[in-house]
Amino acid sequence: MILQFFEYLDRDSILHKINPVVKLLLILTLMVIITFIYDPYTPIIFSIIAIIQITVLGKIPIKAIFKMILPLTFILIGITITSIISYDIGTEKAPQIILAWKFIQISKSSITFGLTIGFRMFCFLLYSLLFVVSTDPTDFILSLIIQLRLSPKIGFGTLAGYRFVPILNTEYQNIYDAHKIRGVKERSRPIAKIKRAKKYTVPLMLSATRKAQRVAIAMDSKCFYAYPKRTYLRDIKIRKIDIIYIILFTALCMAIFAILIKFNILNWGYRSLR
Amino acid sequence: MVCKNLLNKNLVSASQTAEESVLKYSVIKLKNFSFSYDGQRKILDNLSLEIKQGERILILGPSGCGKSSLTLCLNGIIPQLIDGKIEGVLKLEDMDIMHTPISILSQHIGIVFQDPESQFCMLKVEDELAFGLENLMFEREIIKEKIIDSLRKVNLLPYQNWQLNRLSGGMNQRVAIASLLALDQEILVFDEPTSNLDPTGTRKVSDVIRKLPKSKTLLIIEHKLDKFMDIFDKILLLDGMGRQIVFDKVENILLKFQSQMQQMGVWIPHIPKFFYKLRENNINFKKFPLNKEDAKKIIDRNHKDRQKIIEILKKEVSKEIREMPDAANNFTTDSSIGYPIIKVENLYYKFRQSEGFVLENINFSLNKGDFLGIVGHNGSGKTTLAKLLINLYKARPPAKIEIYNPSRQERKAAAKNEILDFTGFVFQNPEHQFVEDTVYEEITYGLKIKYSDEDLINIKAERILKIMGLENFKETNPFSLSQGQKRKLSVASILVMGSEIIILDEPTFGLDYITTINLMNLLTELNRKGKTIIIITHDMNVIFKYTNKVLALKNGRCVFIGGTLKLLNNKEIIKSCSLAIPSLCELYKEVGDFAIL
Repeated sequence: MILQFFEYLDRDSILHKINPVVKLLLILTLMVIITFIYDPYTPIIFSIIAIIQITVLGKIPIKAIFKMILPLTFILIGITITSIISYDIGTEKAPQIILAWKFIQISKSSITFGLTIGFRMFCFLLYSLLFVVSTDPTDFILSLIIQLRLSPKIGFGTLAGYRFVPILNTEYQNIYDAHKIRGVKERSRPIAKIKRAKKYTVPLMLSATRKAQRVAIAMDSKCFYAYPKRTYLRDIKIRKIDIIYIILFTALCMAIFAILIKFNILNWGYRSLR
Repeated sequence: MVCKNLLNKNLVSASQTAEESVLKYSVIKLKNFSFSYDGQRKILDNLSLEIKQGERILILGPSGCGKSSLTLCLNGIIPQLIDGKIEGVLKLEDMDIMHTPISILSQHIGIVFQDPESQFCMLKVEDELAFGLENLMFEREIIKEKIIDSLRKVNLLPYQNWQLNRLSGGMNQRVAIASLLALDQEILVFDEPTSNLDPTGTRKVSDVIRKLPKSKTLLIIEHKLDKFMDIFDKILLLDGMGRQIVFDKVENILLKFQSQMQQMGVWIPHIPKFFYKLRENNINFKKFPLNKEDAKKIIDRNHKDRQKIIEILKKEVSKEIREMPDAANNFTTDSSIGYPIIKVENLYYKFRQSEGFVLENINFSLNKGDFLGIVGHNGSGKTTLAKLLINLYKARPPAKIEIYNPSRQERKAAAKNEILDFTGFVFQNPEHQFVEDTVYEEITYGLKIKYSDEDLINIKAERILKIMGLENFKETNPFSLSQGQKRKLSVASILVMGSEIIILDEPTFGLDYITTINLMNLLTELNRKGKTIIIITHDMNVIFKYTNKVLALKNGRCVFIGGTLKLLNNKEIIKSCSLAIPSLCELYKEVGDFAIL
């Protein structure tokens, strides 16, 4: 899904120069830590840091970020509201009820919980965006192969498949149009819809399989795995800039956590809400 | 002194013979070679031939004769990757394809495939070129040099850093050729390299192939041969069952096997076809010309029969060009005469607000009974225009697209949602429009929506099945038909509806000679009965032979709309849109005494 909303933007920037695997691991670690934090302020602060990184280090205008995020904010708002409503007040010792209407009861903690979930998602989205807009897909796969020892078979296969995403998308649209011309009516009943989907799947699967086979043949006829090892045109390794980035980013995160803990803003774990 | 000279001469001749003997070295040897996927029905049957280094071979045969399978056998993909049963011997530079790994065979033989989209595994031009070199463990600096060198050979150096999906089909094919040149394999195989391309792409790719070094052995499968024919040394002719009919010099085959080739549905280029005709008329030549220039020379030299030749040429040319007055004149009894049934005004269209226009300022109208051809380079907006006509894409005001139902008396544009009731649209890829599980149900799908009378539906379905030669496949699943049959079915399922306006997107793509002729004759027949037909195609032979009006698009703008014959004489448009006129017409223009028709 992220691939459809976010796209790689080619720039000559620091963020673009950082090794994809380094970027990925840092982001994943940060995401895991944030998952255990139950206050809305921490994800907000890290979201701001993400935006600063994308705009300053990544040289991507803030407008472009909002353009990509905007369609998703509605989903975020939806998630926030459902989280507020679905928060189980019963587990609280002394709930401060703000609003009670029929079976819906909203306490101060449920609002904190909802906002936490909402901003956490927002923060995750921004870091995914940071990664996607600043990482050349080819570099990413190559660094998975070189640094993380992913099998080239899987790596190059994924790259070849990645090329087909937009192609299959167009194809789906064509099939949809073609069926419409044949007089296939849009049905609202779910069973009819599933039946229709089946009709779309056959030609799509066929074309995908055929393409996959052709690519496999093309790769093999270019001496894929002629030797157990291979060389690379792109020079992808961990450089000084990566080390500096790791140190600075970790230091920044530590500092923020330290300050947040000092002022008692950071809540660790779900239980902290009660 | 004399002695020294003699010695030198001897040395020269010795080195010459050495060179020749190197040239005569066989790179591909087949002996009683057969192949089948299931062990029963043979795809290739008992081929025996030797191909020598530097030879340029054309492989010809009707569709489904195993040409593509043969190319995959050459580098061992069959049987090592794709299962199949092989009999006899196939050796590539003395390596047996059964037991030598594909990765080793591939260092000697490279293939350019038909579909530009699905032969790459990387996203950028330079990465794609590097892929093969990386597999062979070349150093980074050498890879860089080789990339630049081979991109220069195909004139794509400025595109080194481009994303492949931003390049046109023709450029993609040139990238594919460059990636083989980088690997420097001795044998290059081309599997219909230009069949997906527009005339410009075709010309550029064929230019690149023409200029490949003489030391490379080339095997080419191709239908569109008018631009190519003269580069080949030999032809391998296969029949529909994958049997070798003959492997011989081009001229010999064109002389002796032409009628057989035609019967099998093999495309024969116009110029050799015409000279074959001359021979039938007892006009003989020493040399058999394969391109326009040679043909011209021969005609100019032959003063004795010149008049007769030109007469026959004129007759042949007129067969390739539709002679038909304006459509409206054919329907004098029709009340709709003089009124257009398709009217497009002020059409501007873009897919997204942020993007540029796909179509700009399009204005034209069509009368009932017109046979319109839409031409233009890939991505010039042809399909978009057609989809706008049937309201699949919605044009915004002030654009005005009016479609009139010809079978209605009152002069009122049809409502947008009614257009599909009297308009049929055949998609480029036949598979996209299949909605049912058997051929018969597929044909009757639309009929069942329109009519309730079972007998009527049956009669209509049976008739179209017979016309299209699909009556034996009634219970077959559409997806398991052959490519040509799929195309026939997709056309049949639209034609059976009896639509007044029929739009076809690349209907002749991938069809062999006979199927194309049959389909186009059927459309002509419908057109005579008053149906309006719009056809989108790259095939200029089809345009000139069957249409009476042409709309040429260039970068989304309409640069020509008018009679097909006018286009034939409009050199500027032909050149600026990179269209091509049939080679016989070109020849006639050059040797004939007066302007065409």
